[in-house]
Amino acid sequence: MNISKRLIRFVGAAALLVVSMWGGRAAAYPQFQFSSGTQRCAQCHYSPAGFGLLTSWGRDEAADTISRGGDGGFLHGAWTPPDWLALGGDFRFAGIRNDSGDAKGAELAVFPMQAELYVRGGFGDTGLSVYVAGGYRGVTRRDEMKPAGGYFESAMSREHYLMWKPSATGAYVRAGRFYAPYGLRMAEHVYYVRSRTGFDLYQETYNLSGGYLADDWEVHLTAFTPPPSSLPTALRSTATGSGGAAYFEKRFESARALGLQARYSKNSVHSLLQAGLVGKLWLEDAKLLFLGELDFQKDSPATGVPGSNQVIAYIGPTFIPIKGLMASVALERYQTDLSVAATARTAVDVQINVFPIAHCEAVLLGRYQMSGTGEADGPTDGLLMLQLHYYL
Amino acid sequence: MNPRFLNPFAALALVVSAAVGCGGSVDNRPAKWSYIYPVIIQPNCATANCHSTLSQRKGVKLDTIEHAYNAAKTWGGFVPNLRSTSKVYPRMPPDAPMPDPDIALIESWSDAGKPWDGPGAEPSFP
Repeated sequence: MNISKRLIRFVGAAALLVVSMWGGRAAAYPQFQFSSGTQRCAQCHYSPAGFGLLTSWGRDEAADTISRGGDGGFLHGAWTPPDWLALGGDFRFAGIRNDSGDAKGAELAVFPMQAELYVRGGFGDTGLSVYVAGGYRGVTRRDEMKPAGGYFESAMSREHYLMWKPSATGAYVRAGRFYAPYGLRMAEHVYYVRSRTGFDLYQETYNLSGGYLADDWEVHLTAFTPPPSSLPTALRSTATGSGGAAYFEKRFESARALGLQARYSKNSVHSLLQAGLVGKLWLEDAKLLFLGELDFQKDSPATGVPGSNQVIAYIGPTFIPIKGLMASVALERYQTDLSVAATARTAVDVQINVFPIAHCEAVLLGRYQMSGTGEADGPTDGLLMLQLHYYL
Repeated sequence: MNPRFLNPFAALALVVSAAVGCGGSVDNRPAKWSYIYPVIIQPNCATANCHSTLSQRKGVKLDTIEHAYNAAKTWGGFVPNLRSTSKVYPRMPPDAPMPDPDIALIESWSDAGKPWDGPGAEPSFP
């Protein structure tokens, strides 16, 4: 049986499993999104849809619920900024072994992945705040053709925005540079549901975004455009199209969530119409969290030649047996054109996250990608990555 | 829980699931640059750490359809890199396998003389 048939059966069976569980009464137990009664990403992050700097609640959760101890506060609680000010940072160091079948053999690389600082300032009781992230852009592979060919290529500000968000729930408006709320928003950008849907590394856009956060649902609408290429490197992006994105999420019994999403982008070369759904299901007794995302994309060249219909999928369980440990297995799919079976890529991922103490994380990721139909008709890639992460 | 709300989702999930991995064995896609660039080259090669406007690794820019066309016309490694089994041309992309039909489509376009059919006039670079 080839990979396509097996994948159809696997995803179909998984969908049936999720659907059948949806109909039952699952005991509520929070995962990261739902932990300690946390329903919304915005309870732990200042960003309305997650990502970036943690709120004081998020810092407490990071220490008490996610890690095995410690003080999650800024500088481990040695100094607490005033209420109007929030500071933070992320530092990641990684080592990889990547085997793409290259004649030179497997690639080994050790590199600083991220060094980024965040500052957020609020303006009294107005609900207005400004947020700026800035740091150095790390690279996996040194480019020997560059005179200063180090691992840090340039400064980068991935996010900077002005936001009006007067309360924890209710309406908000945000303008500036960030990722439009969309999809599962995985931390690892290599997953197809990020890298192939317009949310790859440094693919942030300039946006005007707004939405509404309720206890058991939220909606986000975003109009976006890429930074002009005339901007300094620190403000550039790999995004290329302008358009809009919409994400709606409904939560059930603090244990399940269903997201519906759509996105359209266009530039002088092509347009991309996307639609998809996201599912999250937490099973308390099994300590299992199922995450799934399915996206369809229609890529239409501007010249009128026939375009491609694409599919991007992620599905898999995460096991959280004890505080400080999370193990995930996932199956991913990305197909360049649904009319040709062998244009598919399939990835199998095993990821283990360890949070020994607040502020510290280790990530071990194994990823095997196959291309084609699974009958030895396409190149493969095997990746093993160890990542050490510290946040301020 | 509202079953009337969830049932359509269940049906949609099953339909979408059934579509994953479909397709035939015959490739009738256009071997045209206006298809190849946005569908294959841009998402695979113009990424942050590779040939985007940010990195331009090895001095190769694939961030626009014009820059990529110029690279395809002037850089000898553009097509050989994709199937490389030699140390001269390291296999590209280095961390995401490109399916054989996508490589074959680029080769077909290359064998046809790399014609320009993108939007606007054929770009020229000094």
